[in-house]
Amino acid sequence: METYQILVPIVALAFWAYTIYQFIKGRSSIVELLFWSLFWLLTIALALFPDSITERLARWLGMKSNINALVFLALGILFFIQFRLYFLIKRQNSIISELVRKLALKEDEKDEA
Amino acid sequence: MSSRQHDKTLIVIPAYNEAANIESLLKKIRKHGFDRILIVDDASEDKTAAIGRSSGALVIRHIINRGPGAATQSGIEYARMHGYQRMVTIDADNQHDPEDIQKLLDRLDKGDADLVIGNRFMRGDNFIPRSRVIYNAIANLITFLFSHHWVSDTQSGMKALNRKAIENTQLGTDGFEFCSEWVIKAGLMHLRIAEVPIKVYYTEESRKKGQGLLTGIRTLSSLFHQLLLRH
Repeated sequence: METYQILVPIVALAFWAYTIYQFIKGRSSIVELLFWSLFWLLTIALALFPDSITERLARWLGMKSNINALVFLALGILFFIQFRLYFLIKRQNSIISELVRKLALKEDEKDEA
Repeated sequence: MSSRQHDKTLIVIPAYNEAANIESLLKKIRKHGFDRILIVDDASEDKTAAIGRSSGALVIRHIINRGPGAATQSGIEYARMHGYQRMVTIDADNQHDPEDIQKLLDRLDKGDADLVIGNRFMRGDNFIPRSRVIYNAIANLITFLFSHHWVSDTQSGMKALNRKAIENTQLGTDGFEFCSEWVIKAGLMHLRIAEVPIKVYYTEESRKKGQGLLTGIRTLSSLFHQLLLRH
Protein backbone atom coordinates (compact mmCIF):
# COMPACT_ATOMS: atom_id res chain seq x y z
CA MET A 1 0.00 0.00 0.00
CA GLU A 2 1.30 3.46 -0.99
CA THR A 3 1.33 6.47 1.39
CA TYR A 4 -1.37 8.36 -0.58
CA GLN A 5 -3.69 5.35 -0.14
CA ILE A 6 -3.67 6.09 3.59
CA LEU A 7 -3.60 9.91 3.46
CA VAL A 8 -6.35 10.45 0.86
CA PRO A 9 -8.98 8.33 2.66
CA ILE A 10 -8.19 10.06 6.00
CA VAL A 11 -8.60 13.54 4.45
CA ALA A 12 -11.73 12.43 2.55
CA LEU A 13 -13.25 10.98 5.74
CA ALA A 14 -12.61 14.27 7.56
CA PHE A 15 -14.37 16.21 4.78
CA TRP A 16 -17.21 13.68 4.76
CA ALA A 17 -17.64 14.12 8.52
CA TYR A 18 -17.70 17.91 7.99
CA THR A 19 -20.40 17.47 5.30
CA ILE A 20 -22.53 15.41 7.70
CA TYR A 21 -21.98 18.02 10.46
CA GLN A 22 -23.17 20.80 8.09
CA PHE A 23 -26.32 18.79 7.31
CA ILE A 24 -27.06 18.11 11.02
CA LYS A 25 -26.66 21.84 11.76
CA GLY A 26 -29.19 22.58 9.00
CA ARG A 27 -26.68 24.42 6.83
CA SER A 28 -27.00 22.09 3.82
CA SER A 29 -29.82 20.19 2.16
CA ILE A 30 -30.27 16.41 1.83
CA VAL A 31 -29.38 16.65 -1.87
CA GLU A 32 -26.09 18.36 -0.99
CA LEU A 33 -25.38 15.72 1.66
CA LEU A 34 -25.98 12.91 -0.84
CA PHE A 35 -23.90 14.59 -3.56
CA TRP A 36 -20.89 15.24 -1.32
CA SER A 37 -21.15 11.83 0.39
CA LEU A 38 -21.00 10.20 -3.03
CA PHE A 39 -18.07 12.42 -4.01
CA TRP A 40 -15.99 11.62 -0.90
CA LEU A 41 -16.82 7.88 -1.07
CA LEU A 42 -15.70 7.85 -4.70
CA THR A 43 -12.48 9.63 -3.72
CA ILE A 44 -11.80 6.99 -1.03
CA ALA A 45 -12.57 4.16 -3.45
CA LEU A 46 -10.27 5.71 -6.10
CA ALA A 47 -7.43 5.97 -3.59
CA LEU A 48 -7.84 2.39 -2.41
CA PHE A 49 -8.39 0.75 -5.81
CA PRO A 50 -6.89 3.21 -8.32
CA ASP A 51 -6.22 0.88 -11.25
CA SER A 52 -9.30 -1.31 -11.27
CA ILE A 53 -11.73 1.62 -10.95
CA THR A 54 -10.04 3.95 -13.45
CA GLU A 55 -9.57 1.14 -16.02
CA ARG A 56 -13.25 0.26 -15.74
CA LEU A 57 -14.14 3.97 -16.06
CA ALA A 58 -11.91 4.32 -19.16
CA ARG A 59 -13.58 1.30 -20.78
CA TRP A 60 -17.01 2.71 -19.95
CA LEU A 61 -16.15 6.13 -21.43
CA GLY A 62 -14.47 4.55 -24.45
CA MET A 63 -11.02 5.94 -23.60
CA LYS A 64 -7.77 4.13 -24.07
CA SER A 65 -5.99 5.46 -21.00
CA ASN A 66 -7.32 5.36 -17.43
CA ILE A 67 -5.47 8.66 -16.69
CA ASN A 68 -7.45 10.40 -19.45
CA ALA A 69 -10.68 9.08 -17.97
CA LEU A 70 -9.73 10.35 -14.52
CA VAL A 71 -8.80 13.83 -15.80
CA PHE A 72 -12.06 13.93 -17.79
CA LEU A 73 -14.08 13.02 -14.69
CA ALA A 74 -12.23 15.55 -12.49
CA LEU A 75 -12.81 18.35 -15.03
CA GLY A 76 -16.48 17.44 -15.22
CA ILE A 77 -16.85 17.65 -11.45
CA LEU A 78 -14.94 20.96 -11.30
CA PHE A 79 -17.10 22.51 -14.02
CA PHE A 80 -20.23 21.34 -12.23
CA ILE A 81 -19.09 22.95 -8.97
CA GLN A 82 -18.05 26.14 -10.80
CA PHE A 83 -21.44 26.32 -12.53
CA ARG A 84 -23.26 25.83 -9.23
CA LEU A 85 -21.19 28.51 -7.50
CA TYR A 86 -21.87 30.92 -10.36
CA PHE A 87 -25.63 30.55 -9.91
CA LEU A 88 -25.32 30.77 -6.15
CA ILE A 89 -23.39 34.07 -6.31
CA LYS A 90 -25.82 35.50 -8.87
CA ARG A 91 -28.74 34.57 -6.63
CA GLN A 92 -27.09 36.07 -3.56
CA ASN A 93 -26.42 39.29 -5.48
CA SER A 94 -30.00 39.48 -6.58
CA ILE A 95 -31.27 38.89 -3.02
CA ILE A 96 -28.98 41.65 -1.67
CA SER A 97 -30.25 44.13 -4.29
CA GLU A 98 -33.85 43.25 -3.50
CA LEU A 99 -33.19 43.72 0.21
CA VAL A 100 -31.49 47.11 -0.35
CA ARG A 101 -34.43 48.20 -2.54
CA LYS A 102 -37.05 47.11 0.00
CA LEU A 103 -35.21 48.97 2.77
CA ALA A 104 -35.00 52.15 0.66
CA LEU A 105 -38.71 52.04 -0.19
CA LYS A 106 -39.69 51.21 3.39
CA GLU A 107 -37.62 54.09 4.74
CA ASP A 108 -39.41 56.39 2.28
CA GLU A 109 -42.83 55.12 3.44
CA LYS A 110 -41.79 55.81 7.05
CA ASP A 111 -40.75 59.37 6.13
CA GLU A 112 -44.08 59.96 4.38
CA ALA A 113 -46.01 58.72 7.41
CA MET B 1 -49.08 69.42 -21.81
CA SER B 2 -51.26 70.18 -18.79
CA SER B 3 -49.79 70.40 -15.30
CA ARG B 4 -52.19 67.60 -14.25
CA GLN B 5 -50.52 65.25 -16.71
CA HIS B 6 -47.10 66.32 -15.43
CA ASP B 7 -48.29 65.42 -11.91
CA LYS B 8 -48.73 61.84 -13.10
CA THR B 9 -45.22 61.77 -14.56
CA LEU B 10 -42.24 60.81 -12.44
CA ILE B 11 -38.73 61.77 -13.50
CA VAL B 12 -36.28 59.22 -12.10
CA ILE B 13 -32.58 60.02 -11.65
CA PRO B 14 -30.41 57.07 -10.60
CA ALA B 15 -27.41 58.76 -8.96
CA TYR B 16 -24.08 57.83 -7.45
CA ASN B 17 -21.73 60.57 -6.22
CA GLU B 18 -23.37 63.32 -8.29
CA ALA B 19 -23.34 66.15 -5.73
CA ALA B 20 -21.61 68.42 -8.25
CA ASN B 21 -24.32 67.98 -10.89
CA ILE B 22 -27.59 67.20 -9.17
CA GLU B 23 -28.71 70.73 -8.24
CA SER B 24 -28.25 72.17 -11.73
CA LEU B 25 -29.97 69.13 -13.25
CA LEU B 26 -32.98 69.52 -10.94
CA LYS B 27 -33.25 73.21 -11.86
CA LYS B 28 -33.19 72.40 -15.59
CA ILE B 29 -35.84 69.68 -15.23
CA ARG B 30 -38.11 72.02 -13.24
CA LYS B 31 -37.66 74.72 -15.86
CA HIS B 32 -39.41 72.37 -18.27
CA GLY B 33 -42.39 71.98 -15.96
CA PHE B 34 -41.68 68.71 -14.18
CA ASP B 35 -41.94 68.79 -10.40
CA ARG B 36 -42.17 65.13 -9.47
CA ILE B 37 -38.52 64.19 -9.50
CA LEU B 38 -37.14 61.13 -7.72
CA ILE B 39 -33.44 60.71 -7.01
CA VAL B 40 -32.45 57.12 -6.35
CA ASP B 41 -29.24 57.66 -4.43
CA ASP B 42 -27.18 54.50 -4.83
CA ALA B 43 -25.28 54.90 -1.53
CA SER B 44 -23.30 57.98 -2.62
CA GLU B 45 -20.34 58.94 -0.47
CA ASP B 46 -20.91 62.64 -1.16
CA LYS B 47 -23.92 64.89 -0.47
CA THR B 48 -26.05 63.81 -3.45
CA ALA B 49 -29.04 62.86 -1.26
CA ALA B 50 -28.82 65.93 1.00
CA ILE B 51 -28.60 68.33 -1.96
CA GLY B 52 -31.47 66.52 -3.67
CA ARG B 53 -33.68 66.83 -0.57
CA SER B 54 -32.83 70.48 0.03
CA SER B 55 -33.64 71.20 -3.63
CA GLY B 56 -37.10 69.72 -3.13
CA ALA B 57 -36.70 66.40 -4.93
CA LEU B 58 -38.03 63.10 -3.65
CA VAL B 59 -35.12 60.95 -2.52
CA ILE B 60 -34.80 57.25 -1.75
CA ARG B 61 -31.44 55.92 -0.70
CA HIS B 62 -29.79 52.52 -1.09
CA ILE B 63 -27.82 51.67 2.05
CA ILE B 64 -25.10 50.03 -0.04
CA ASN B 65 -24.05 50.61 -3.65
CA ARG B 66 -25.77 48.17 -6.01
CA GLY B 67 -25.21 49.70 -9.44
CA PRO B 68 -27.23 51.69 -11.99
CA GLY B 69 -29.49 48.76 -12.92
CA ALA B 70 -30.54 48.20 -9.33
CA ALA B 71 -31.10 51.95 -8.81
CA THR B 72 -33.24 52.17 -11.96
CA GLN B 73 -35.35 49.21 -10.84
CA SER B 74 -35.87 50.92 -7.46
CA GLY B 75 -37.17 53.96 -9.36
CA ILE B 76 -39.54 51.77 -11.38
CA GLU B 77 -40.87 50.14 -8.20
CA TYR B 78 -41.38 53.57 -6.62
CA ALA B 79 -43.40 54.68 -9.68
CA ARG B 80 -45.39 51.44 -9.56
CA MET B 81 -46.17 51.78 -5.83
CA HIS B 82 -47.23 55.41 -6.12
CA GLY B 83 -49.42 54.92 -9.17
CA TYR B 84 -47.54 57.13 -11.65
CA GLN B 85 -48.88 56.84 -15.18
CA ARG B 86 -45.60 57.76 -16.91
CA MET B 87 -41.99 57.73 -15.94
CA VAL B 88 -38.81 59.09 -17.52
CA THR B 89 -35.27 58.08 -16.56
CA ILE B 90 -32.46 60.57 -17.05
CA ASP B 91 -28.74 60.34 -16.23
CA ALA B 92 -27.54 62.35 -13.24
CA ASP B 93 -24.31 63.62 -14.81
CA ASN B 94 -25.99 66.30 -16.93
CA GLN B 95 -25.22 64.50 -20.19
CA HIS B 96 -28.88 64.64 -21.22
CA ASP B 97 -30.88 67.74 -22.06
CA PRO B 98 -34.08 67.87 -19.95
CA GLU B 99 -35.75 69.60 -22.90
CA ASP B 100 -35.87 66.15 -24.52
CA ILE B 101 -38.10 64.75 -21.74
CA GLN B 102 -41.14 66.28 -23.40
CA LYS B 103 -40.14 64.79 -26.77
CA LEU B 104 -40.09 61.32 -25.26
CA LEU B 105 -43.45 61.86 -23.55
CA ASP B 106 -45.00 63.21 -26.76
CA ARG B 107 -43.89 60.03 -28.54
CA LEU B 108 -45.33 57.95 -25.70
CA ASP B 109 -48.62 59.85 -25.95
CA LYS B 110 -49.04 58.91 -29.60
CA GLY B 111 -50.17 55.59 -28.14
CA ASP B 112 -48.16 53.20 -30.28
CA ALA B 113 -45.23 52.71 -27.89
CA ASP B 114 -44.90 51.57 -24.29
CA LEU B 115 -41.18 52.25 -23.98
CA VAL B 116 -39.53 55.21 -25.72
CA ILE B 117 -35.74 55.30 -25.87
CA GLY B 118 -33.83 58.53 -26.32
CA ASN B 119 -31.47 57.85 -29.22
CA ARG B 120 -28.11 59.67 -29.19
CA PHE B 121 -27.18 58.54 -32.70
CA MET B 122 -30.22 59.86 -34.57
CA ARG B 123 -28.83 63.41 -34.34
CA GLY B 124 -25.85 64.35 -36.44
CA ASP B 125 -24.62 67.09 -34.09
CA ASN B 126 -23.88 64.91 -31.05
CA PHE B 127 -20.23 64.28 -30.31
CA ILE B 128 -20.02 60.77 -28.89
CA PRO B 129 -16.64 59.26 -27.89
CA ARG B 130 -15.50 56.53 -30.29
CA SER B 131 -15.22 53.94 -27.50
CA ARG B 132 -18.92 54.39 -26.73
CA VAL B 133 -19.89 54.17 -30.38
CA ILE B 134 -18.04 50.84 -30.70
CA TYR B 135 -19.39 49.49 -27.45
CA ASN B 136 -22.93 50.53 -28.34
CA ALA B 137 -22.72 48.81 -31.73
CA ILE B 138 -21.60 45.53 -30.11
CA ALA B 139 -24.26 45.80 -27.39
CA ASN B 140 -26.94 46.49 -30.03
CA LEU B 141 -25.92 43.37 -31.90
CA ILE B 142 -25.98 41.15 -28.81
CA THR B 143 -29.31 42.63 -27.72
CA PHE B 144 -30.70 41.97 -31.19
CA LEU B 145 -29.55 38.33 -31.06
CA PHE B 146 -31.56 37.78 -27.89
CA SER B 147 -34.54 40.03 -28.56
CA HIS B 148 -34.90 39.88 -32.39
CA HIS B 149 -35.79 43.55 -32.05
CA TRP B 150 -33.42 46.14 -33.53
CA VAL B 151 -32.81 49.20 -31.34
CA SER B 152 -30.01 51.49 -32.49
CA ASP B 153 -29.23 52.95 -29.03
CA THR B 154 -29.77 50.14 -26.53
CA GLN B 155 -27.41 51.75 -23.98
CA SER B 156 -29.17 55.10 -23.67
CA GLY B 157 -30.00 56.15 -20.10
CA MET B 158 -32.93 58.30 -21.18
CA LYS B 159 -36.14 56.33 -21.45
CA ALA B 160 -39.84 56.98 -21.04
CA LEU B 161 -42.33 54.36 -19.87
CA ASN B 162 -46.11 54.30 -19.80
CA ARG B 163 -48.07 52.60 -17.01
CA LYS B 164 -48.06 49.24 -18.83
CA ALA B 165 -44.27 49.29 -19.02
CA ILE B 166 -43.97 50.47 -15.40
CA GLU B 167 -46.09 47.53 -14.27
CA ASN B 168 -44.31 44.93 -16.36
CA THR B 169 -40.64 45.89 -16.11
CA GLN B 170 -38.57 43.82 -13.71
CA LEU B 171 -34.84 44.26 -14.23
CA GLY B 172 -32.66 41.54 -12.76
CA THR B 173 -29.19 42.90 -13.52
CA ASP B 174 -27.56 45.47 -11.25
CA GLY B 175 -24.81 46.89 -13.48
CA PHE B 176 -24.85 48.67 -16.83
CA GLU B 177 -26.00 45.49 -18.55
CA PHE B 178 -29.53 46.45 -17.44
CA CYS B 179 -29.87 48.61 -20.58
CA SER B 180 -29.72 45.57 -22.88
CA GLU B 181 -31.71 43.44 -20.47
CA TRP B 182 -34.43 46.10 -20.50
CA VAL B 183 -34.81 45.97 -24.29
CA ILE B 184 -34.77 42.16 -24.31
CA LYS B 185 -37.36 41.90 -21.54
CA ALA B 186 -39.54 44.56 -23.16
CA GLY B 187 -39.63 42.31 -26.23
CA LEU B 188 -40.54 39.29 -24.13
CA MET B 189 -43.34 41.28 -22.45
CA HIS B 190 -44.63 42.40 -25.87
CA LEU B 191 -44.01 46.03 -24.99
CA ARG B 192 -43.81 48.28 -28.05
CA ILE B 193 -40.51 50.15 -28.37
CA ALA B 194 -39.88 53.45 -30.17
CA GLU B 195 -36.85 55.74 -30.39
CA VAL B 196 -36.60 59.51 -30.62
CA PRO B 197 -33.46 61.61 -31.23
CA ILE B 198 -31.98 63.29 -28.17
CA LYS B 199 -29.12 65.66 -27.52
CA VAL B 200 -26.18 64.45 -25.46
CA TYR B 201 -23.24 66.30 -23.90
CA TYR B 202 -20.14 64.37 -22.89
CA THR B 203 -17.98 66.17 -20.36
CA GLU B 204 -14.61 64.96 -19.07
CA GLU B 205 -16.38 63.79 -15.93
CA SER B 206 -19.23 61.95 -17.64
CA ARG B 207 -16.70 60.16 -19.84
CA LYS B 208 -15.07 58.71 -16.73
CA LYS B 209 -18.40 57.37 -15.57
CA GLY B 210 -20.74 55.17 -17.54
CA GLN B 211 -19.62 52.69 -20.12
CA GLY B 212 -16.27 53.04 -21.75
CA LEU B 213 -14.86 50.26 -23.88
CA LEU B 214 -13.23 48.44 -20.94
CA THR B 215 -16.21 48.56 -18.60
CA GLY B 216 -18.28 47.79 -21.67
CA ILE B 217 -16.42 44.55 -22.27
CA ARG B 218 -17.01 43.56 -18.64
CA THR B 219 -20.67 44.48 -18.96
CA LEU B 220 -21.04 42.52 -22.18
CA SER B 221 -19.45 39.45 -20.67
CA SER B 222 -21.81 39.65 -17.69
CA LEU B 223 -24.82 40.20 -19.95
CA PHE B 224 -23.80 37.34 -22.20
CA HIS B 225 -23.52 34.99 -19.24
CA GLN B 226 -26.80 36.16 -17.82
CA LEU B 227 -28.71 35.78 -21.04
CA LEU B 228 -27.09 32.60 -22.25
CA LEU B 229 -27.73 30.80 -18.99
CA ARG B 230 -31.30 32.05 -18.72
CA HIS B 231 -32.38 31.03 -22.22
